[in-house]
Amino acid sequence: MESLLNTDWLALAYNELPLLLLIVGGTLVLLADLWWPQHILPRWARRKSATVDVHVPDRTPLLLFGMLAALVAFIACWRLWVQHEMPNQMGMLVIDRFSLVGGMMIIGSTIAGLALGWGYLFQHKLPIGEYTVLMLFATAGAWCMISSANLLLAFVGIEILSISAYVLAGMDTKNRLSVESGLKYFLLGAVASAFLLFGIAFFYGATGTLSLVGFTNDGIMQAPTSQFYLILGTAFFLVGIGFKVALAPFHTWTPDVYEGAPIPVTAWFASAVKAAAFLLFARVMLVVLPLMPALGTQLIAGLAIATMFIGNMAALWQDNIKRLLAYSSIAHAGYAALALVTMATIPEAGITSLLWYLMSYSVMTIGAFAVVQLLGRDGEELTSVGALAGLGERHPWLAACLSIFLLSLAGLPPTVGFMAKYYLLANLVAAGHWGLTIAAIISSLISVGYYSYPIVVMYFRPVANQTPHNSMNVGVPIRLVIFFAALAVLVAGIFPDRLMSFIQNSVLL
Amino acid sequence: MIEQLLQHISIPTLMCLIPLLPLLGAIANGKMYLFSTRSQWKPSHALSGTIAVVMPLISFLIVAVLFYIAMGLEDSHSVSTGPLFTWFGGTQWAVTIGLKLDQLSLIMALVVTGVGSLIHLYSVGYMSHDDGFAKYFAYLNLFLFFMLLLILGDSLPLMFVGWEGVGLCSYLLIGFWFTDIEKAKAGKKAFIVNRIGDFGFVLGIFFIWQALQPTAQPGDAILSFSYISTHAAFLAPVATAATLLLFLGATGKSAQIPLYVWLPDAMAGPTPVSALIHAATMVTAGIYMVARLNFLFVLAPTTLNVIAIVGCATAFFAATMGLVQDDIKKVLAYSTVSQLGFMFLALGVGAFSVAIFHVMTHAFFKALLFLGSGSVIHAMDGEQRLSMYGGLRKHLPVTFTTFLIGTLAIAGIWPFAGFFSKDAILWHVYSSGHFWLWLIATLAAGLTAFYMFRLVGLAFFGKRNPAGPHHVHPENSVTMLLPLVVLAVLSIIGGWVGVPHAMGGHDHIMTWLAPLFPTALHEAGNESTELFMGLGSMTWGAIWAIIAWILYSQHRGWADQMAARFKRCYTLLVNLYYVDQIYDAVVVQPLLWFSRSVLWQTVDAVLIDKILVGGSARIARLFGRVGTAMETGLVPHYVFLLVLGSVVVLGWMIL
Repeated sequence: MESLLNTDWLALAYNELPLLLLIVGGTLVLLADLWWPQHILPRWARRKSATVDVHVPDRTPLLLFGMLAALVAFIACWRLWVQHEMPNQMGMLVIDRFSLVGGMMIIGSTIAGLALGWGYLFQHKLPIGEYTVLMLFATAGAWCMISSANLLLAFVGIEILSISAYVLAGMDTKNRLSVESGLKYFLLGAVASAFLLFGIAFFYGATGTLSLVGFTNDGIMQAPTSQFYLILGTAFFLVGIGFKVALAPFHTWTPDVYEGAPIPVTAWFASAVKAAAFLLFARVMLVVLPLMPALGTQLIAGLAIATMFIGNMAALWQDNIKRLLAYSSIAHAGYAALALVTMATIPEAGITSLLWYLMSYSVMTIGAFAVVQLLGRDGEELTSVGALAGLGERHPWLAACLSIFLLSLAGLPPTVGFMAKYYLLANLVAAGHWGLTIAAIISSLISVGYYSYPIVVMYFRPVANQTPHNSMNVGVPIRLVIFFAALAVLVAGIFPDRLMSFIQNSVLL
Repeated sequence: MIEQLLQHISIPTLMCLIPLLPLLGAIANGKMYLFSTRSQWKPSHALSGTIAVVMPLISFLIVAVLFYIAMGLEDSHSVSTGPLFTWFGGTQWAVTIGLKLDQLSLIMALVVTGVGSLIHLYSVGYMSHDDGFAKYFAYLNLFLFFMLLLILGDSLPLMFVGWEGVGLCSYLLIGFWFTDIEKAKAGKKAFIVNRIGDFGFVLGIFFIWQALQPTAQPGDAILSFSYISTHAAFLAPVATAATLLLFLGATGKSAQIPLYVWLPDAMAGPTPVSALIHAATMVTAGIYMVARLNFLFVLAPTTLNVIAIVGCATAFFAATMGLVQDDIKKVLAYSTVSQLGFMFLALGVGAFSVAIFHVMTHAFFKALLFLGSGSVIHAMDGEQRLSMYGGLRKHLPVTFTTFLIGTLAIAGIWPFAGFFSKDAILWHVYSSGHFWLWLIATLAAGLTAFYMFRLVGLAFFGKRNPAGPHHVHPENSVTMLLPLVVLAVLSIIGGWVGVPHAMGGHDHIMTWLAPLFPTALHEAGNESTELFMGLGSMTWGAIWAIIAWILYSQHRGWADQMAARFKRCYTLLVNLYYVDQIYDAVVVQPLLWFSRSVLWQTVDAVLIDKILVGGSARIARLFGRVGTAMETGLVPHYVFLLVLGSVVVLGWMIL
């Protein structure tokens, strides 16, 4: 009680403004959703085409409000980033530039995810209010994960994020696949959470504290069992977090969940959820790796290689573009894990390349999913790659954007994907991991095989049947998302210096 | 505004403008052509022609101004921009970009821009009916840019850029009418043969680089000519190899044995191109290069001997091949090869300035001859066979007069330009003690007079061949006649800058070039001998000229009788010693066979395509099967894998 009274609540509120905004915004949306007029249709809803069921009220303004809240949270993050040169720990939370950059990345993905829901949710008759609320709360959970100095808070954050994510995946209750994906995600996620919690418990056993600050050689109790507990804790933690970021062999849920979930949700999974899990992973590894140097270079490296190769090779067989991108996200988790490997020897450069990689991956994968979503029609999602045939003629700009995203995912210049891989590989070489470098290069060579497949189909395969394509009146936000993502991919790929120095300024350890 | 511009006028900026103006013209014309291919708009001939002619003309004026400035300079007669910027380099050395005009490059630049401007002007008339008018001038201006870069560049790499650039433009212009497959093939042949030479050139540069690298201080531009000349001593061990390789490059560009075969085929291009690129300027790049690096070549007497022998042999053989050609441009092409041989002969005996002198006079009269032949071809509707001509002197009086002047110049008749330069070559060969080379060269000079007067006799004298074109277009285009007249004047007076002391002259050009070149490697001969030999060589040329004129304009039957009498010899000459056939059998066919059956069908198709490319893809897909096999879609399997994975992780951590 004493400590509660002594806490400077105002300062805490100020420093945790993004978190506060997300929670307050989410709560307000929840309340507004509850009291939303059921029968009085706003004018914009009445002007919708006849195919739309007019008895369902359009709650798109809630989405807009959620985006606004996230945007303000983003700006708050930016303000805090400017102010915080040194880390600032407040109880279980730590505010430093690393978490603020991560926060901006994740909140940015959330804004994009909400924008993708615009129009899509209404067309697919999905509950807009719940979607917005869950996204905002999940983002708040992600915030707790990345800015926690305490494993307990991190676990709570993971659970907030995960439970929201389970519901989001299974949100399209009329779609069997969606329901299945939500259930699968939940069942497997529960197992993984158990591993995670078990790992945290062993950490506590080893250090006597849940605070990450306790992970030093002095902090580890001298009893022989505590060393063993540390090993067990690390192993279980690795399994749990490996599930969340989809490292092989804990990746098996990814293709099914990504395929079943509605596309805006999938795009958000691939960007925000993955980034949050990786940032927590990095935060823990930052304190664990110095204690166990071989862990990074051998075990994580092995998992990373397996992940890259399984992801890239399995993707070669995919004809479903959502599954293809799902395997691609598995493979990219492998690359990002390589950045963790370099953290063992060159921590600052390793974290820089991890942040850079996650940031660029988020942008390009959101862009790719957005194009795929935009191409769906009549309440059906575009699934097969073959349906892209002739896109180069029908929608040259969209085809060009999708090509940019795919080339970026493959890591070809002049895109940000190339820069991300370049920094990653340069760090690997600097850390002396030649074998890993070669493996990463070979696997990304393989990946070119399937990333070029949709491009070939788009440009070189004639349209099989001239279906009269409906006018894509899906709204401006998704187009903006695609435009800005493509712009970011190219600009950051050609002029990476500014962004790079921004990230480098964020990882003063 | 104007004041600000005037502030920037200085010698370095003017020098930069010399190559940049033609580049500007090339870009302007190229853009116009590209634009016209995509729209209805066509650039007017007046516009693109004006741009194309004015740009080299301004360059010529700048060079002339700089020439007068350099003449006034007391010590070195050279101006330079210094290093403008660093192109590339290592920690120990650098390659800088810079332009330099000294006595040698000033003469070359004057010839290139001067003759070049005239030929551009001539082209306006010659190409007036062609659709690719703007494209043609874009290429021609681009050629001048690269040629000037080659001449003005102050380092080997920059010279090489120009060297390759002129090769590219030559290729583009030989194959200018590429819809004719033979012409496209001629362009390809020129390009490929030149690559062989360029390979030698590059290797030579590498040799020099390697030898000089240890001597470099950080930041030294070790491949600039000034650095090489001051550090020539370090090059002594590799001089022979390096210079032989560089000479291989020169044989390619300057059409010497064994790489001369492309030049006669290069006549497929428009005639002004033949005049500019394949007679007056580009083909002399090899001579310029050897003269530029004279300090290197004098370190390798073996190379100099090789150069002299190759030059002499080329001069003679090309002259014999010129004797029997029926195509008017082919005669001139072999004549060019032969004259280039004379120049190399001069280089080989150490008379560098004489070679440059001959480059200059040759540029005048050979450009004149080519433009004259172009005028004839233009008048005869594109007919190039000499046997279809005859009696043209009445129809084309200006062309005839100027062509005759050019012929007299190349035949070495006093006081035309060719007399002084050719006589100087022969004299230097003789006085340096190469008696046999002198004998062969003298014979070749006689043959030169013979085949040139044969050409004049066949084309301009006698009766019209009834099988030829019925109508002869009159010559009335000023743009085509003006260059002819100017070049004719130059062909008369151009040699007077090099009248030797023995004939009462002052030999200005030798004095001008003397500081650049080593003093004579041999003792100067007797002046009265020189005078006597000059008279002798002129008489010798005149005799052959008269024989040819009689044979081909008065008694054509005699020539045919002679051909029948020496049938074997004649067949051998008509077939050009079967050199093309020999190259084809010895080099081309085995290479093709090797490429087709080994490299393509075995290495590429089977090893690379099937095994490496296809095989690796198949392996990747096979493993991908394993990856997808994990995705059963059943949660129990997934949990099983999860647990299995955790066992592996735990096992690794504990063990």
